Amino acid sequence: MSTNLSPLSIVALGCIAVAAAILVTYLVKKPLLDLRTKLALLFGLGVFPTLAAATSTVAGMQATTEREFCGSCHVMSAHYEDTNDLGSQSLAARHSRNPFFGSESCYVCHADYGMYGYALTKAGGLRHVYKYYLGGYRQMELDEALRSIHLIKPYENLNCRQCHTATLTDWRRVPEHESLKQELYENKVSCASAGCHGYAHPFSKPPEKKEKDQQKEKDKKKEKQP
Amino acid sequence: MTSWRRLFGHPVSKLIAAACVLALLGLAILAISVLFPGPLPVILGMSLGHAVGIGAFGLYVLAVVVDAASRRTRGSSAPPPR
Repeated sequence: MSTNLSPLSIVALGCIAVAAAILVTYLVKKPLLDLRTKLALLFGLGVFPTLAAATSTVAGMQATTEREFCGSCHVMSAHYEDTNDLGSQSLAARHSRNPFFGSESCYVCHADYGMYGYALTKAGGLRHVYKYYLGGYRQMELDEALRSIHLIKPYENLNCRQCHTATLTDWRRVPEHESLKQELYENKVSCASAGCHGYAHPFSKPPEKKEKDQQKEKDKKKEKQP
Repeated sequence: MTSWRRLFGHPVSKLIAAACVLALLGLAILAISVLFPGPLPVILGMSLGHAVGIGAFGLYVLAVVVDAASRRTRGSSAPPPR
């Protein structure tokens, strides 16, 4: 059971309780179906359930953005534990310690942005649920999951730039940012790569991939240097 | 008995009782989704919970319509059903 209920969840539960009380009273007492009873039933079957449905939907959507929610599937447990580890210096763990969005760091970093971003992110979440319950992820061992589950498309640098704007002088002052600016905009080089800010979830990368990526980044930087 | 009667000829009280039971089921699903916000409860709450609730409200509206129609044929002096 969720230990800290949001105000919306409390409103939803309140509406559910009032509606249920009206309905149970009707079922037990079976009063005459006069105007008063019909009005009471309109509240018990229409008004309060509608309020409960609306508030529980918003509360549910809010719950899906929590880090705990993402970590509730066992294939994400390594990622979740890493973000909870105060000693971890991975990009994901450092971002999860941010007091402003740390409790929702998975969502904030992995959400699609733009006009249909929210809907697209939620649709992507439904695909995850489908893959977990019907696509074999549920039966997968954690080691196998780390090896075989990957992002469906390369991570967008645009997501980093939602907070770390590339227009500030401080950002431009870094020589690598300036020299790789075009590649960063075109997503050819990732901010979260071995030679730059490091992987967000380094434990999920096999050593050979780490070495290969590091070499690739070095080569790119050498190419760019005059 | 015509198909219309077969479909809508249930006593009003039975329709409303069915609506109440359905609504209680829908409310229980919503309550579970709020108290245990895991992937499945949240999805079930937003789909099955809403569908059951809409079905219950539909039954209630049907009961009110059937009640109004039967009163018109019986005359307004007839007592309301239990």
